[in-house]
Amino acid sequence: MSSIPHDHVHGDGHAGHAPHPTGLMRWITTTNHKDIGTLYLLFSLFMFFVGGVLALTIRTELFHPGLQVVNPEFFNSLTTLHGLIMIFGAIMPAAVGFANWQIPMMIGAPDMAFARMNNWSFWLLPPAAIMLIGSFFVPGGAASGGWTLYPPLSVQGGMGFDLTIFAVHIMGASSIMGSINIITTILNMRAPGMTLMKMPMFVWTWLITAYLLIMVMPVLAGAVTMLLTDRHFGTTFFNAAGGGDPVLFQHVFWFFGHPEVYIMILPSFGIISEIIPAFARKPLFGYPSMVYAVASIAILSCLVWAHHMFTVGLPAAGLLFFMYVTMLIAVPTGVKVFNWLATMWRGSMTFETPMLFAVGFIFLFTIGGFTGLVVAIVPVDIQLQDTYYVVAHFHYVLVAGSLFAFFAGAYYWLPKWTGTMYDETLGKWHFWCAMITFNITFFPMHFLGLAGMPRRIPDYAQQFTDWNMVASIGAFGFGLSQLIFVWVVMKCIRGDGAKAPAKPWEGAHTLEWTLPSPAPYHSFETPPVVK
Amino acid sequence: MATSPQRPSAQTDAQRRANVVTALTLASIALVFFFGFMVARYLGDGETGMTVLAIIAFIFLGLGIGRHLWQGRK
Ligand code: HEM
Ligand SMILES: [Cu+2]
Repeated sequence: MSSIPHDHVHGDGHAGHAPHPTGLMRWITTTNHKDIGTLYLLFSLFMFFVGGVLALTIRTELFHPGLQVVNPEFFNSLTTLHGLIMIFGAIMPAAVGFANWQIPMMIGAPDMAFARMNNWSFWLLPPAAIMLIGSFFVPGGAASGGWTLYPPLSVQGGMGFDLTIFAVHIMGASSIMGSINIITTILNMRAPGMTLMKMPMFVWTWLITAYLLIMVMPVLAGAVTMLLTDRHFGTTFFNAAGGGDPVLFQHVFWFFGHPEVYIMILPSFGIISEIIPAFARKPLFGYPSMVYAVASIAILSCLVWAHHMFTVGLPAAGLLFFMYVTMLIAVPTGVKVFNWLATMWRGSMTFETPMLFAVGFIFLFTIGGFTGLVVAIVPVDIQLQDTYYVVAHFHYVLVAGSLFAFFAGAYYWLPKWTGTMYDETLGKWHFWCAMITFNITFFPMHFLGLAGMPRRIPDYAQQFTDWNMVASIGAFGFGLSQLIFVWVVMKCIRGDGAKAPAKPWEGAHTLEWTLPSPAPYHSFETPPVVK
Repeated sequence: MATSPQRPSAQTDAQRRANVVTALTLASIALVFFFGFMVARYLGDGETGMTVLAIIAFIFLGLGIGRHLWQGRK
């Protein structure tokens, strides 16, 4: 699995570079962290739209009660693949894209530790994506048991499940290689003087995220491997007919699944922790406590998985344990929110697009955190489990959380990546349209869930109609708003806009801003000295 | 795993070796997590498997991340 980066032992910052290929071959063979970062980000943007089309099909079906657009089996495939594609195709690759671009520049390293393995990590993803999307066209259709792949459905289903299982294997291998690369880079390649406690918060959050990935991706791979052997090789890990235990799959899955939600949010915390100080023109409040908070969130996250299983019949002691540990995680999360607010307190703030998305993030993520606490209460969750309330909860933390933070980060670093300032007017339009339509889509889902509307169902009782119509209209608005973002990015890539200075944000102090914009293809080959 | 970062302009042999050691350590931990649960499942019931898994994970994260926090204090 490890590859030795002998392709990266070239000289000292000038002349010595072998000419690198151009055109398509440049992208296929590249070992440059900036190229690979770009590939990850573009891939994730593409998958974001694929997942978005599935979501809008779901919302079209749910606009009215009754069945009108798709049949129920296909509807189940839509929710399943929407979840899988957004999580493994959009959010996670975007976070890795940010890591590739930013970590070497922020710690003063010339590249990632294993440049060739880095290329592999990315190029494993498109085949996995083709398997996932292609599974719609195989006999029996795409996987339809929900993104959580619970047996017995996932043991009984058709070929779509096999493709999904292989895709998960491949994406898992990619993530593990990526995290090994990230940890090694951060531990071994920092510029002289860049001690751990001087690292930018974004680097810290990724260091800790990578540990989580190394711990849980193999567990997921193991779980789906057991599904596969149950399906084809006569084992009965989860197959009740042969004495297996379907609930055991839920345990293993959520042992991966809950840390996974932190894998998706911690890099976003890192991005927000860079942006808030830059636009408040103050250093991050309580940097050490931020580091400790991220570490405790990560460590606790391996002890809370069964809060997804409060209704499967756990012993009372188990319910209590998982309820209290889940609530405990709210404490370090609260520390982080407090510190962001304290950073803004009496700062001389300006509200360019990155800051707008960052403030929007804090506001909406906190709502999602609170609804998380609501469903962490066992007796309440027995009511709300598998209702739209849970759908509202995780979209507040994942869309308004992870995704908004990635938008914030993209606007913040686009000038550095492309050398062109993004269009501020369009950026503000994007923010406000996204902010408003997001809430129109997902806030009503709290009401629907409290009123008892189940999730993953193509039809519903009459009394849920009004809020479903509102949510569907909001969803199309939200989808359209994202086209503004594509327009902004294309303008930057084409160089249509003001030329970006090396440091467009006066309050930004991390190392990447000492480089010219756009960042040169090879940076920090002579390490900077950090004081 | 080098704790005090020092890096000449390109990767030296020593650095490359340090990188490979870090990577192999991490990869072997990943392998333990991959097979660990299946083995635990064969040895005992599911509950034992999950308890062992959680304890190992807690120790791994505590030592792995905790070590960096400890280094950071200095
Ligand atoms: C204060 C922190 C949080 C708490 C207390 C919390 C608690 C919970 C609980 C108890 C559930 C299960 C609800 C049920 O199925 O009945 C849940 C579901 C979920 N949470 Fe959270 N959560 C928190 C933060 C997050 C974050 C940060 C994310 C992701 C970025 C997240 C993503 C999810 C997802 C995706 C699900 C649904 C999984 C599914 O069934 O498909 N949560 N949360
Ligand atoms: Cu959870």
